[in-house]
Amino acid sequence: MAGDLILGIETSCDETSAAVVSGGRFVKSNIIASQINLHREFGGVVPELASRKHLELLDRVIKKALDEAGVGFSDLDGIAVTYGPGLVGSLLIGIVAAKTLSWSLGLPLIGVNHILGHIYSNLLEHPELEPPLLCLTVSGGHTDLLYTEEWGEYRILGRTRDDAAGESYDKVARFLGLGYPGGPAVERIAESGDPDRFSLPSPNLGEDRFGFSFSGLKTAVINLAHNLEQKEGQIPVADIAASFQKTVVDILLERVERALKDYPVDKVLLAGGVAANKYLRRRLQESLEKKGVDLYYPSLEYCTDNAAMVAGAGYFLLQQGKVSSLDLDAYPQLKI
Amino acid sequence: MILGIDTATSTGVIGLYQKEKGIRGELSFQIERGHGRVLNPLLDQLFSHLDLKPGDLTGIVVGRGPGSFTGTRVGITLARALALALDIPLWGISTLEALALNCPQGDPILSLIDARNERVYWGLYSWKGKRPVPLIRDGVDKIGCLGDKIQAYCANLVVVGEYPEHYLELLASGYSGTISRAQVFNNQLRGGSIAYAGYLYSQEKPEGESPDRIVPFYLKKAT
Repeated sequence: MAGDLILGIETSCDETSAAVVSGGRFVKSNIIASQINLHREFGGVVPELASRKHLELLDRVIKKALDEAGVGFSDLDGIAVTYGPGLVGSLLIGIVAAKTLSWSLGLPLIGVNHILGHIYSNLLEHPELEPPLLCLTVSGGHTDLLYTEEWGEYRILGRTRDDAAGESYDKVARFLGLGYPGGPAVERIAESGDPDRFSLPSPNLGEDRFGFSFSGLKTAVINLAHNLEQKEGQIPVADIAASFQKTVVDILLERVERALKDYPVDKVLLAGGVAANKYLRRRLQESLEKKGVDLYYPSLEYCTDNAAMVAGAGYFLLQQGKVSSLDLDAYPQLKI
Repeated sequence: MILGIDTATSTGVIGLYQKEKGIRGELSFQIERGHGRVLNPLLDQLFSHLDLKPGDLTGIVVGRGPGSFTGTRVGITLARALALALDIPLWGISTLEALALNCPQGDPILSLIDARNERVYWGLYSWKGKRPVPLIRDGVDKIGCLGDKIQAYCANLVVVGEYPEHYLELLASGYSGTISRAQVFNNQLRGGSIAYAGYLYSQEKPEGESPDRIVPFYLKKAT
Protein backbone atom coordinates (compact mmCIF):
# COMPACT_ATOMS: atom_id res chain seq x y z
CA MET A 1 0.00 0.00 0.00
CA ALA A 2 1.39 3.39 -0.97
CA GLY A 3 2.32 5.70 1.90
CA ASP A 4 2.35 2.79 4.26
CA LEU A 5 5.82 2.71 5.80
CA ILE A 6 6.88 5.88 7.61
CA LEU A 7 10.19 6.69 9.30
CA GLY A 8 9.53 8.95 12.29
CA ILE A 9 12.10 11.21 13.95
CA GLU A 10 11.69 12.88 17.32
CA THR A 11 14.24 15.21 18.96
CA SER A 12 12.05 17.85 20.62
CA CYS A 13 13.44 17.54 24.14
CA ASP A 14 15.79 15.06 25.79
CA GLU A 15 14.97 11.87 23.92
CA THR A 16 16.63 11.04 20.60
CA SER A 17 14.25 8.69 18.83
CA ALA A 18 13.61 7.12 15.42
CA ALA A 19 10.95 4.58 14.50
CA VAL A 20 9.44 2.75 11.58
CA VAL A 21 5.65 2.40 11.64
CA SER A 22 3.38 0.75 9.10
CA GLY A 23 -0.08 2.10 8.31
CA GLY A 24 0.02 4.53 11.23
CA ARG A 25 -0.69 1.73 13.68
CA PHE A 26 1.86 -1.08 13.52
CA VAL A 27 5.26 -0.44 15.09
CA LYS A 28 8.16 -2.13 13.28
CA SER A 29 10.78 -0.49 15.47
CA ASN A 30 10.95 2.29 18.04
CA ILE A 31 14.45 3.26 19.17
CA ILE A 32 14.72 5.73 22.05
CA ALA A 33 18.05 7.00 23.34
CA SER A 34 17.25 8.83 26.56
CA GLN A 35 19.44 11.63 27.87
CA ILE A 36 17.88 11.66 31.35
CA ASN A 37 21.12 10.68 33.09
CA LEU A 38 22.97 13.45 31.30
CA HIS A 39 20.62 16.15 32.59
CA ARG A 40 19.87 14.75 36.05
CA GLU A 41 22.75 16.51 37.79
CA PHE A 42 21.42 19.86 36.55
CA GLY A 43 17.88 19.22 37.85
CA GLY A 44 16.37 19.69 34.40
CA VAL A 45 17.07 19.61 30.70
CA VAL A 46 20.02 21.78 29.64
CA PRO A 47 19.11 22.86 26.08
CA GLU A 48 22.67 23.18 24.75
CA LEU A 49 23.65 19.76 26.15
CA ALA A 50 20.51 18.21 24.66
CA SER A 51 21.25 19.61 21.19
CA ARG A 52 24.83 18.34 21.32
CA LYS A 53 23.66 14.87 22.29
CA HIS A 54 20.94 14.70 19.61
CA LEU A 55 23.52 15.44 16.92
CA GLU A 56 25.85 12.72 18.23
CA LEU A 57 23.13 10.09 18.45
CA LEU A 58 20.62 10.71 15.70
CA ASP A 59 22.11 8.98 12.66
CA ARG A 60 22.99 5.90 14.71
CA VAL A 61 19.44 5.82 16.12
CA ILE A 62 17.95 6.11 12.61
CA LYS A 63 20.14 3.30 11.35
CA LYS A 64 19.15 1.10 14.28
CA ALA A 65 15.46 1.81 13.68
CA LEU A 66 15.79 0.68 10.05
CA ASP A 67 17.85 -2.39 10.98
CA GLU A 68 15.44 -3.47 13.69
CA ALA A 69 12.48 -3.01 11.35
CA GLY A 70 14.34 -5.03 8.73
CA VAL A 71 13.92 -2.35 6.08
CA GLY A 72 16.16 -0.07 4.05
CA PHE A 73 15.67 3.55 3.01
CA SER A 74 14.25 2.39 -0.33
CA ASP A 75 11.32 0.64 1.42
CA LEU A 76 10.09 3.84 3.05
CA ASP A 77 7.12 5.91 1.89
CA GLY A 78 7.70 9.06 3.91
CA ILE A 79 9.76 10.83 6.57
CA ALA A 80 7.86 12.30 9.52
CA VAL A 81 9.48 14.62 12.03
CA THR A 82 8.45 16.63 15.09
CA TYR A 83 8.72 20.35 14.25
CA GLY A 84 7.37 21.67 17.54
CA PRO A 85 6.74 22.37 20.29
CA GLY A 86 10.04 21.81 22.06
CA LEU A 87 13.56 23.16 22.42
CA VAL A 88 14.50 24.99 19.25
CA GLY A 89 18.09 23.70 19.03
CA SER A 90 16.96 20.13 19.66
CA LEU A 91 14.06 20.30 17.20
CA LEU A 92 16.40 21.59 14.48
CA ILE A 93 18.57 18.48 14.59
CA GLY A 94 15.63 16.22 13.78
CA ILE A 95 14.16 18.63 11.25
CA VAL A 96 17.37 19.15 9.26
CA ALA A 97 18.06 15.40 9.25
CA ALA A 98 14.50 14.65 8.12
CA LYS A 99 14.58 17.29 5.38
CA THR A 100 17.89 15.91 4.14
CA LEU A 101 16.61 12.32 4.10
CA SER A 102 13.42 13.41 2.35
CA TRP A 103 15.36 15.36 -0.29
CA SER A 104 18.06 12.79 -0.96
CA LEU A 105 15.68 9.83 -1.04
CA GLY A 106 12.87 11.59 -2.92
CA LEU A 107 10.33 10.91 -0.16
CA PRO A 108 7.55 13.13 1.17
CA LEU A 109 8.40 15.16 4.28
CA ILE A 110 5.75 15.35 6.98
CA GLY A 111 6.12 17.87 9.81
CA VAL A 112 4.29 16.60 12.88
CA ASN A 113 3.04 18.52 15.90
CA HIS A 114 4.48 16.74 18.92
CA ILE A 115 1.18 16.96 20.83
CA LEU A 116 -0.68 15.36 17.94
CA GLY A 117 1.92 12.59 18.09
CA HIS A 118 1.08 11.92 21.74
CA ILE A 119 -2.59 11.52 20.83
CA TYR A 120 -1.83 9.07 18.03
CA SER A 121 0.43 7.07 20.34
CA ASN A 122 -2.77 5.43 21.60
CA LEU A 123 -3.36 3.89 18.17
CA LEU A 124 -0.06 2.05 18.26
CA GLU A 125 -1.37 -0.34 20.89
CA HIS A 126 -5.08 -0.09 20.09
CA PRO A 127 -5.20 -0.18 16.29
CA GLU A 128 -8.96 -0.74 16.40
CA LEU A 129 -9.52 2.64 18.06
CA GLU A 130 -11.93 4.90 16.16
CA PRO A 131 -13.35 8.36 16.93
CA PRO A 132 -15.44 10.14 18.17
CA LEU A 133 -13.50 10.54 21.38
CA LEU A 134 -12.08 12.92 23.95
CA CYS A 135 -8.35 13.18 24.48
CA LEU A 136 -6.56 14.58 27.50
CA THR A 137 -2.89 15.34 26.78
CA VAL A 138 -0.84 15.95 29.91
CA SER A 139 2.90 16.49 29.74
CA GLY A 140 5.72 18.74 30.87
CA GLY A 141 4.75 21.27 28.23
CA HIS A 142 1.02 20.76 27.70
CA THR A 143 -2.36 20.25 29.23
CA ASP A 144 -4.90 20.04 26.42
CA LEU A 145 -8.39 18.65 26.28
CA LEU A 146 -9.49 17.81 22.73
CA TYR A 147 -12.53 16.42 21.01
CA THR A 148 -11.94 14.37 17.85
CA GLU A 149 -14.68 13.40 15.43
CA GLU A 150 -12.40 11.81 12.82
CA TRP A 151 -8.68 11.09 12.63
CA GLY A 152 -6.66 14.09 11.51
CA GLU A 153 -9.31 16.54 12.79
CA TYR A 154 -9.79 17.83 16.31
CA ARG A 155 -11.41 20.61 18.31
CA ILE A 156 -9.59 22.16 21.28
CA LEU A 157 -11.89 22.34 24.26
CA GLY A 158 -9.39 23.64 26.77
CA ARG A 159 -5.72 24.19 27.45
CA THR A 160 -3.59 25.56 30.24
CA ARG A 161 -3.21 29.30 30.71
CA ASP A 162 0.11 29.08 32.52
CA ASP A 163 2.07 26.04 33.71
CA ALA A 164 1.42 22.63 32.20
CA ALA A 165 0.46 19.87 34.64
CA GLY A 166 3.81 18.11 34.19
CA GLU A 167 5.64 21.39 34.61
CA SER A 168 3.97 21.92 37.99
CA TYR A 169 5.12 18.40 38.99
CA ASP A 170 8.69 19.33 38.01
CA LYS A 171 8.60 22.65 39.86
CA VAL A 172 7.09 21.17 43.01
CA ALA A 173 9.57 18.28 42.88
CA ARG A 174 12.47 20.68 42.56
CA PHE A 175 11.19 22.78 45.45
CA LEU A 176 10.73 19.72 47.68
CA GLY A 177 14.19 18.47 46.70
CA LEU A 178 12.84 15.33 45.03
CA GLY A 179 15.01 15.50 41.92
CA TYR A 180 14.41 15.26 38.20
CA PRO A 181 12.29 14.15 36.38
CA GLY A 182 9.69 15.46 38.81
CA GLY A 183 6.63 13.42 37.82
CA PRO A 184 7.84 9.97 38.89
CA ALA A 185 9.57 11.48 41.97
CA VAL A 186 6.39 13.12 43.26
CA GLU A 187 4.31 10.06 42.46
CA ARG A 188 6.69 7.77 44.34
CA ILE A 189 6.80 9.77 47.56
CA ALA A 190 3.08 10.57 47.40
CA GLU A 191 2.32 6.87 47.82
CA SER A 192 3.33 7.10 51.48
CA GLY A 193 1.61 10.43 52.08
CA ASP A 194 -1.90 11.49 53.11
CA PRO A 195 -3.62 13.07 50.10
CA ASP A 196 -6.36 14.59 52.27
CA ARG A 197 -4.13 16.26 54.87
CA PHE A 198 -3.90 19.59 53.07
CA SER A 199 -6.60 21.32 51.11
CA LEU A 200 -5.07 23.15 48.15
CA PRO A 201 -6.81 25.64 45.86
CA SER A 202 -8.19 24.63 42.50
CA PRO A 203 -8.77 27.37 39.96
CA ASN A 204 -12.13 28.68 38.88
CA LEU A 205 -11.75 29.90 35.31
CA GLY A 206 -15.32 31.10 34.84
CA GLU A 207 -16.44 30.91 31.24
CA ASP A 208 -13.38 28.87 30.25
CA ARG A 209 -15.06 25.68 31.43
CA PHE A 210 -12.44 23.28 30.06
CA GLY A 211 -9.35 25.40 30.68
CA PHE A 212 -6.55 24.65 33.13
CA SER A 213 -4.24 26.64 35.37
CA PHE A 214 -1.56 25.16 37.62
CA SER A 215 0.69 28.04 38.56
CA GLY A 216 -1.51 29.12 41.50
CA LEU A 217 -1.43 25.58 42.84
CA LYS A 218 2.36 25.48 42.62
CA THR A 219 2.62 28.76 44.53
CA ALA A 220 0.17 27.48 47.16
CA VAL A 221 2.31 24.37 47.65
CA ILE A 222 5.46 26.43 48.09
CA ASN A 223 3.76 28.80 50.57
CA LEU A 224 2.32 25.88 52.51
CA ALA A 225 5.71 24.22 52.74
CA HIS A 226 7.35 27.46 53.93
CA ASN A 227 4.71 27.97 56.61
CA LEU A 228 4.97 24.41 57.87
CA GLU A 229 8.72 24.60 57.96
CA GLN A 230 8.55 27.72 60.13
CA LYS A 231 5.90 26.27 62.44
CA GLU A 232 7.02 22.66 62.69
CA GLY A 233 10.67 22.92 61.79
CA GLN A 234 10.35 20.47 58.90
CA ILE A 235 8.39 19.92 55.71
CA PRO A 236 6.03 16.91 55.61
CA VAL A 237 7.17 16.13 52.06
CA ALA A 238 5.09 12.97 51.49
CA ASP A 239 1.83 14.54 52.68
CA ILE A 240 2.41 17.67 50.63
CA ALA A 241 3.28 15.65 47.51
CA ALA A 242 0.19 13.47 47.96
CA SER A 243 -2.10 16.47 48.51
CA PHE A 244 -0.60 18.28 45.53
CA GLN A 245 -1.01 15.26 43.28
CA LYS A 246 -4.59 14.71 44.39
CA THR A 247 -5.44 18.34 43.59
CA VAL A 248 -3.86 18.12 40.10
CA VAL A 249 -5.82 14.97 39.33
CA ASP A 250 -9.05 16.46 40.79
CA ILE A 251 -8.68 19.37 38.39
CA LEU A 252 -8.02 17.13 35.37
CA LEU A 253 -10.88 14.81 36.28
CA GLU A 254 -13.37 17.61 36.76
CA ARG A 255 -12.68 18.98 33.26
CA VAL A 256 -13.01 15.55 31.66
CA GLU A 257 -16.31 14.89 33.44
CA ARG A 258 -17.59 18.29 32.36
CA ALA A 259 -16.57 17.64 28.75
CA LEU A 260 -18.33 14.29 28.73
CA LYS A 261 -21.62 16.06 29.49
CA ASP A 262 -21.24 18.27 26.39
CA TYR A 263 -19.64 15.57 24.24
CA PRO A 264 -21.17 12.24 25.26
CA VAL A 265 -18.59 9.88 23.73
CA ASP A 266 -17.69 6.43 25.03
CA LYS A 267 -13.90 6.71 24.71
CA VAL A 268 -11.36 8.90 26.45
CA LEU A 269 -7.68 8.86 25.54
CA LEU A 270 -4.95 9.86 27.90
CA ALA A 271 -1.68 10.98 26.29
CA GLY A 272 1.59 12.69 27.11
CA GLY A 273 4.32 12.00 29.65
CA VAL A 274 2.04 12.42 32.66
CA ALA A 275 -0.17 9.64 31.25
CA ALA A 276 2.44 7.37 32.84
CA ASN A 277 1.23 8.48 36.28
CA LYS A 278 -0.53 5.47 37.82
CA TYR A 279 -2.50 7.52 40.33
CA LEU A 280 -3.97 9.62 37.49
CA ARG A 281 -4.79 6.49 35.48
CA ARG A 282 -6.51 4.84 38.42
CA ARG A 283 -8.63 7.87 39.36
CA LEU A 284 -9.66 8.45 35.73
CA GLN A 285 -10.42 4.77 35.28
CA GLU A 286 -12.66 4.69 38.40
CA SER A 287 -14.54 7.77 37.33
CA LEU A 288 -15.06 6.69 33.71
CA GLU A 289 -16.02 3.14 34.54
CA LYS A 290 -19.08 4.40 36.39
CA LYS A 291 -20.14 6.23 33.24
CA GLY A 292 -19.54 3.27 30.92
CA VAL A 293 -16.73 5.14 29.17
CA ASP A 294 -13.54 3.30 28.14
CA LEU A 295 -10.20 4.81 29.05
CA TYR A 296 -7.20 4.28 26.77
CA TYR A 297 -3.66 5.16 27.69
CA PRO A 298 -0.33 4.19 26.14
CA SER A 299 2.13 1.88 27.83
CA LEU A 300 5.21 3.51 29.33
CA GLU A 301 7.27 3.24 26.14
CA TYR A 302 4.72 5.34 24.25
CA CYS A 303 3.96 7.81 27.05
CA THR A 304 7.39 9.34 26.99
CA ASP A 305 8.63 11.10 23.88
CA ASN A 306 9.07 8.59 21.09
CA ALA A 307 9.29 8.58 17.31
CA ALA A 308 6.70 5.82 16.77
CA MET A 309 3.93 8.24 17.64
CA VAL A 310 5.43 10.79 15.22
CA ALA A 311 5.51 8.22 12.43
CA GLY A 312 1.94 7.21 13.36
CA ALA A 313 0.59 10.76 13.19
CA GLY A 314 2.69 11.35 10.05
CA TYR A 315 0.92 8.51 8.29
CA PHE A 316 -2.52 10.08 8.79
CA LEU A 317 -1.28 13.53 7.77
CA LEU A 318 0.25 12.06 4.61
CA GLN A 319 -3.04 10.32 3.81
CA GLN A 320 -4.66 13.76 3.90
CA GLY A 321 -1.93 15.24 1.71
CA LYS A 322 -0.60 17.37 4.56
CA VAL A 323 3.06 17.35 3.58
CA SER A 324 5.77 19.90 4.37
CA SER A 325 8.29 21.67 2.15
CA LEU A 326 12.06 21.83 2.54
CA ASP A 327 11.86 25.15 4.36
CA LEU A 328 10.17 23.49 7.34
CA ASP A 329 11.38 25.28 10.47
CA ALA A 330 11.30 24.59 14.22
CA TYR A 331 8.35 26.05 16.13
CA PRO A 332 9.28 25.91 19.83
CA GLN A 333 5.89 27.31 20.93
CA LEU A 334 3.76 25.36 18.48
CA LYS A 335 0.25 24.76 19.77
CA ILE A 336 -2.23 22.18 18.72
CA MET B 1 31.32 15.29 -7.23
CA ILE B 2 32.02 16.65 -3.75
CA LEU B 3 29.60 18.79 -1.76
CA GLY B 4 31.12 21.32 0.64
CA ILE B 5 28.99 22.91 3.40
CA ASP B 6 29.75 25.34 6.19
CA THR B 7 27.15 27.03 8.41
CA ALA B 8 29.31 27.83 11.45
CA THR B 9 29.52 31.57 10.77
CA SER B 10 26.92 34.11 9.71
CA THR B 11 28.01 33.40 6.14
CA GLY B 12 26.56 30.00 5.28
CA VAL B 13 28.04 28.40 2.17
CA ILE B 14 27.44 25.50 -0.17
CA GLY B 15 29.79 24.46 -2.98
CA LEU B 16 30.14 21.66 -5.49
CA TYR B 17 33.47 20.55 -6.92
CA GLN B 18 34.01 18.05 -9.69
CA LYS B 19 37.48 16.95 -10.75
CA GLU B 20 36.91 17.29 -14.52
CA LYS B 21 34.95 20.54 -14.39
CA GLY B 22 36.19 22.41 -11.32
CA ILE B 23 33.71 24.33 -9.17
CA ARG B 24 30.27 23.45 -10.51
CA GLY B 25 28.40 25.89 -8.34
CA GLU B 26 28.49 27.73 -5.07
CA LEU B 27 26.06 29.64 -2.91
CA SER B 28 26.65 31.98 -0.02
CA PHE B 29 24.03 33.48 2.27
CA GLN B 30 24.74 35.88 5.10
CA ILE B 31 22.16 35.49 7.87
CA GLU B 32 22.58 35.83 11.62
CA ARG B 33 20.28 32.90 12.34
CA GLY B 34 17.95 30.56 10.52
CA HIS B 35 20.47 28.34 8.73
CA GLY B 36 18.26 25.39 9.67
CA ARG B 37 15.35 26.71 7.64
CA VAL B 38 17.17 27.84 4.50
CA LEU B 39 20.02 25.37 4.03
CA ASN B 40 17.97 22.51 2.56
CA PRO B 41 15.94 24.65 0.11
CA LEU B 42 19.11 26.41 -1.11
CA LEU B 43 20.86 23.11 -1.64
CA ASP B 44 17.83 21.88 -3.58
CA GLN B 45 17.83 25.01 -5.73
CA LEU B 46 21.53 24.76 -6.52
CA PHE B 47 21.07 21.16 -7.59
CA SER B 48 18.04 21.84 -9.75
CA HIS B 49 19.64 24.84 -11.50
CA LEU B 50 22.62 22.63 -12.31
CA ASP B 51 20.35 19.75 -13.30
CA LEU B 52 21.98 17.49 -10.73
CA LYS B 53 20.52 14.79 -8.46
CA PRO B 54 21.55 14.00 -4.87
CA GLY B 55 22.74 10.65 -6.20
CA ASP B 56 25.42 12.43 -8.29
CA LEU B 57 27.37 13.14 -5.12
CA THR B 58 30.42 11.04 -4.30
CA GLY B 59 31.41 12.68 -1.02
CA ILE B 60 30.63 15.46 1.46
CA VAL B 61 32.88 17.79 3.43
CA VAL B 62 31.44 19.86 6.24
CA GLY B 63 32.75 22.72 8.37
CA ARG B 64 33.01 21.71 12.03
CA GLY B 65 33.32 25.24 13.36
CA PRO B 66 34.27 26.76 15.69
CA GLY B 67 31.48 29.30 15.47
CA SER B 68 27.77 29.42 16.21
CA PHE B 69 26.82 26.22 18.04
CA THR B 70 23.40 25.93 16.45
CA GLY B 71 24.67 26.97 13.03
CA THR B 72 27.49 24.44 13.07
CA ARG B 73 25.10 21.67 14.09
CA VAL B 74 22.79 22.47 11.18
CA GLY B 75 25.55 21.88 8.61
CA ILE B 76 26.85 18.77 10.34
CA THR B 77 23.37 17.29 10.80
CA LEU B 78 22.70 17.76 7.09
CA ALA B 79 26.06 16.29 6.12
CA ARG B 80 25.72 13.25 8.37
CA ALA B 81 22.16 12.54 7.24
CA LEU B 82 23.18 12.86 3.59
CA ALA B 83 26.16 10.54 4.07
CA LEU B 84 23.84 8.02 5.72
CA ALA B 85 21.14 8.20 3.05
CA LEU B 86 23.48 8.07 0.06
CA ASP B 87 26.10 5.86 1.70
CA ILE B 88 28.97 8.13 0.64
CA PRO B 89 32.11 9.23 2.53
CA LEU B 90 32.13 12.25 4.82
CA TRP B 91 35.00 14.49 5.94
CA GLY B 92 35.16 17.34 8.44
CA ILE B 93 37.09 20.58 8.01
CA SER B 94 37.88 23.25 10.59
CA THR B 95 36.00 26.42 9.64
CA LEU B 96 39.20 28.30 10.48
CA GLU B 97 41.09 26.20 7.93
CA ALA B 98 38.31 26.88 5.43
CA LEU B 99 38.85 30.62 5.92
CA ALA B 100 42.61 30.25 5.46
CA LEU B 101 41.91 28.70 2.05
CA ASN B 102 40.92 32.22 0.91
CA CYS B 103 44.43 33.62 1.45
CA PRO B 104 47.40 33.32 -0.89
CA GLN B 105 50.47 31.31 0.00
CA GLY B 106 53.08 33.36 1.87
CA ASP B 107 52.96 34.69 5.41
CA PRO B 108 51.16 32.66 8.08
CA ILE B 109 47.43 33.23 8.12
CA LEU B 110 45.47 34.11 11.26
CA SER B 111 41.83 33.06 10.80
CA LEU B 112 39.38 34.83 13.10
CA ILE B 113 35.74 34.14 13.89
CA ASP B 114 34.07 36.52 16.32
CA ALA B 115 33.06 34.80 19.57
CA ARG B 116 31.58 38.09 20.91
CA ASN B 117 32.75 40.38 23.75
CA GLU B 118 36.20 40.78 22.21
CA ARG B 119 36.76 37.05 22.20
CA VAL B 120 37.67 35.24 19.00
CA TYR B 121 37.95 31.71 17.75
CA TRP B 122 41.32 31.68 16.06
CA GLY B 123 43.61 29.44 14.08
CA LEU B 124 47.12 30.01 12.75
CA TYR B 125 47.73 28.38 9.38
CA SER B 126 50.48 28.12 6.83
CA TRP B 127 50.31 26.65 3.33
CA LYS B 128 51.93 23.26 2.92
CA GLY B 129 51.52 21.77 -0.54
CA LYS B 130 47.94 22.14 -1.73
CA ARG B 131 46.34 23.36 1.47
CA PRO B 132 46.87 25.28 4.68
CA VAL B 133 47.86 23.33 7.79
CA PRO B 134 47.61 24.54 11.41
CA LEU B 135 50.80 25.80 13.07
CA ILE B 136 49.19 25.42 16.51
CA ARG B 137 45.85 24.16 17.78
CA ASP B 138 42.77 26.28 17.06
CA GLY B 139 41.71 28.18 20.17
CA VAL B 140 39.36 30.73 21.70
CA ASP B 141 40.80 33.78 23.50
CA LYS B 142 40.43 37.47 24.17
CA ILE B 143 41.63 39.20 21.02
CA GLY B 144 43.92 41.44 23.13
CA CYS B 145 45.77 38.38 24.50
CA LEU B 146 46.27 36.73 21.15
CA GLY B 147 49.48 38.53 20.14
CA ASP B 148 51.45 36.85 22.94
CA LYS B 149 50.31 33.40 21.94
CA ILE B 150 51.23 33.67 18.28
CA GLN B 151 54.29 35.92 18.45
CA ALA B 152 56.68 32.98 18.52
CA TYR B 153 55.18 31.39 15.41
CA CYS B 154 55.18 34.24 12.93
CA ALA B 155 57.07 37.45 12.27
CA ASN B 156 54.33 38.71 9.95
CA LEU B 157 50.80 37.59 9.37
CA VAL B 158 47.69 37.95 7.26
CA VAL B 159 44.38 38.24 9.09
CA VAL B 160 41.27 36.76 7.54
CA GLY B 161 37.71 36.41 8.77
CA GLU B 162 34.66 38.38 9.89
CA TYR B 163 35.36 40.46 13.00
CA PRO B 164 34.61 43.95 14.35
CA GLU B 165 37.01 46.60 13.05
CA HIS B 166 38.55 47.50 16.41
CA TYR B 167 39.70 43.92 17.01
CA LEU B 168 42.63 44.60 14.71
CA GLU B 169 43.96 47.37 16.97
CA LEU B 170 43.54 45.14 20.01
CA LEU B 171 45.48 42.41 18.21
CA ALA B 172 48.22 44.83 17.14
CA SER B 173 48.69 46.07 20.71
CA GLY B 174 50.08 42.69 21.76
CA TYR B 175 51.92 41.73 18.59
CA SER B 176 55.16 43.20 17.28
CA GLY B 177 55.14 41.90 13.68
CA THR B 178 53.47 43.31 10.59
CA ILE B 179 49.77 42.60 10.19
CA SER B 180 48.19 42.68 6.78
CA ARG B 181 44.57 42.01 5.96
CA ALA B 182 42.97 39.66 3.49
CA GLN B 183 41.04 41.22 0.62
CA VAL B 184 37.55 42.23 1.73
CA PHE B 185 35.95 39.70 -0.60
CA ASN B 186 38.08 36.94 0.93
CA ASN B 187 36.98 37.55 4.51
CA GLN B 188 33.94 35.33 4.14
CA LEU B 189 33.85 31.60 3.53
CA ARG B 190 33.58 30.19 0.01
CA GLY B 191 31.64 27.02 -0.72
CA GLY B 192 33.74 26.19 -3.76
CA SER B 193 37.04 26.23 -1.91
CA ILE B 194 35.62 24.04 0.86
CA ALA B 195 34.32 21.56 -1.72
CA TYR B 196 37.78 21.57 -3.32
CA ALA B 197 39.38 20.87 0.07
CA GLY B 198 36.95 17.95 0.28
CA TYR B 199 38.23 16.72 -3.06
CA LEU B 200 41.79 16.78 -1.65
CA TYR B 201 40.61 14.83 1.42
CA SER B 202 39.00 12.28 -0.90
CA GLN B 203 42.42 11.71 -2.44
CA GLU B 204 44.13 11.39 0.94
CA LYS B 205 41.44 9.37 2.72
CA PRO B 206 38.96 7.95 0.18
CA GLU B 207 36.93 6.01 2.76
CA GLY B 208 36.12 9.22 4.66
CA GLU B 209 36.00 9.74 8.40
CA SER B 210 33.70 7.89 10.77
CA PRO B 211 30.50 10.01 10.87
CA ASP B 212 30.43 9.59 14.68
CA ARG B 213 33.57 11.69 14.82
CA ILE B 214 32.15 14.52 12.75
CA VAL B 215 30.97 16.76 15.59
CA PRO B 216 31.40 20.51 16.10
CA PHE B 217 34.62 22.03 17.41
CA TYR B 218 32.77 23.81 20.20
CA LEU B 219 35.90 24.96 22.12
CA LYS B 220 33.47 26.00 24.88
CA LYS B 221 31.56 23.90 27.40
CA ALA B 222 27.78 23.48 27.17
CA THR B 223 27.19 24.43 30.80
